[in-house]
Amino acid sequence: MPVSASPAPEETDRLQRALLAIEHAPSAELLSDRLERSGVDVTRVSNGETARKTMANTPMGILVADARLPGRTGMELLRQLPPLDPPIILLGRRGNDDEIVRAYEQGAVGYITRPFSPRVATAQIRRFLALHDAAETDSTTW
Amino acid sequence: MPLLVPCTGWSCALLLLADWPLDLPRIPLPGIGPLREVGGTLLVLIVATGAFMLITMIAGMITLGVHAWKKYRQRTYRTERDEWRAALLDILAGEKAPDALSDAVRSRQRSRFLSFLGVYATSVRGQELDRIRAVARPFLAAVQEKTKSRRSVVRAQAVQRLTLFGDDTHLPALRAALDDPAETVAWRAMMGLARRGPPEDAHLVIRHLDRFSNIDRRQVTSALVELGEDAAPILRQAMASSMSEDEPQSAFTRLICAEALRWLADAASAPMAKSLLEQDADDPELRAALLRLLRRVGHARHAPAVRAQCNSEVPFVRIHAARALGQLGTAADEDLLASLLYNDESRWVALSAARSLSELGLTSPIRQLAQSSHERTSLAEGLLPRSA
Repeated sequence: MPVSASPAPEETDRLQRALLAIEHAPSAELLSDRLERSGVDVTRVSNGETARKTMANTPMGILVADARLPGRTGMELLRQLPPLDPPIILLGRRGNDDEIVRAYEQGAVGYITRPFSPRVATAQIRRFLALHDAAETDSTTW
Repeated sequence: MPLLVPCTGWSCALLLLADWPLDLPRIPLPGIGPLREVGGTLLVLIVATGAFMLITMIAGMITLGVHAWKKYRQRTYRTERDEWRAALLDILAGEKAPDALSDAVRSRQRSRFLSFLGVYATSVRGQELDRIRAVARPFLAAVQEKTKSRRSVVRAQAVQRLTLFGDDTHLPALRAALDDPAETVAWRAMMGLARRGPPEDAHLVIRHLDRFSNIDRRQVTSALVELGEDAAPILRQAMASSMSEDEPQSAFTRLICAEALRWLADAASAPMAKSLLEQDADDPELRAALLRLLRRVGHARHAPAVRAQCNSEVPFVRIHAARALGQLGTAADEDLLASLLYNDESRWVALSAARSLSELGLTSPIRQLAQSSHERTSLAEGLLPRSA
């Protein structure tokens, strides 16, 4: 008989935690404010290397990274982090279709183009957090 | 220690001014002479040192004052921005009305406040942008007045702010600014109208394009693309305008329109580009732009016009013609492209031909070249897969 096990408390915390690796301060402020208002615990960094170190120390439910981040770009983070652990959404400029396609090919789950709607972006991020949450719950059910 | 010297100098100066040295006994100094004889020079040196010290002290005090003032101002501005940011985020979340923030801004803070808002306005779109515009609305009458300022930098900033925060009522001010004597103002007005104006404003924007021929073409094209797909018929008309007698356009304007249509991937412009290539596109840069456009949106039926340009006298026209054949050509183009690969005087044309052959899957001419002792063997080798 299958036994359903809830994720450990720290795992639950992780799934509601987002890391924003965004250099452009206003974009980071707008997104983090919206996410925090919707109950997501947000950590903000402005450098790719710091993002990688933060991910190593603190498990995250999602990473939103600037495609052109100093230190390590969002694209580099996509290549270096394990697939979907956590899911990565890139943030970049509008009209750069080649980069958007490349991002999806390399495993990004989403691509937010600037200028963006914080409301829509927050809904998108929360949806991925929920999906990730469901996937994690499934993986702990046996 | 550094203060000791000038202090001693001041003391000596006071002694001299008090007439005391007049009673000094004559002290013979070997090689210099009596003290009284050097007194005049000494006095001048002492006074100069003193004056220098005074000036240094005043300059130091001014520097310290300015530094303290700047620190104070930075702190004040930071506090100000933090307060505005907190209120703005509440407004964007729908928890406060826009006037809750705009009412709190005093007239002397207006310019700083609009600069602050501008950073957020360029980051967001949709409902959030509408809310930021609502916050800025009470200040726009003053901004519009600034479009009449005597200083071009002020006019340019005003035009930029009207673009960012304004609505349809501000479009006449943007249209008028297109004729501004300062190029920076006109350029911002052009970008503003392209972004915010209705598609009909495309006529006006295109009429002013020649003024920006010294600006990077990619920037001008990018601004024109902001007009959007609805303006494509007007762009097509301008691209073909030398055929109409009503409103002939310069080669620069036609070229920029062709580039903008390419960026917009406007498939309807392909037949026109083909007929322009066949008829009257004399300017080589325009021909190159038309070839790039056809490469993006053309079909095999447009290939004859492209093939003809492979014989152009201008190398960069041949480069773009050869590249366009990679998209529009067929197996029948193998000989033409192979001929360019082997015989064209320009190595860049040869490279374009090789790339197009590769795109068409016609790799045998490239393989043959790679195995030959032709001077372009290395070019062919670089294009072939390593396993081949």
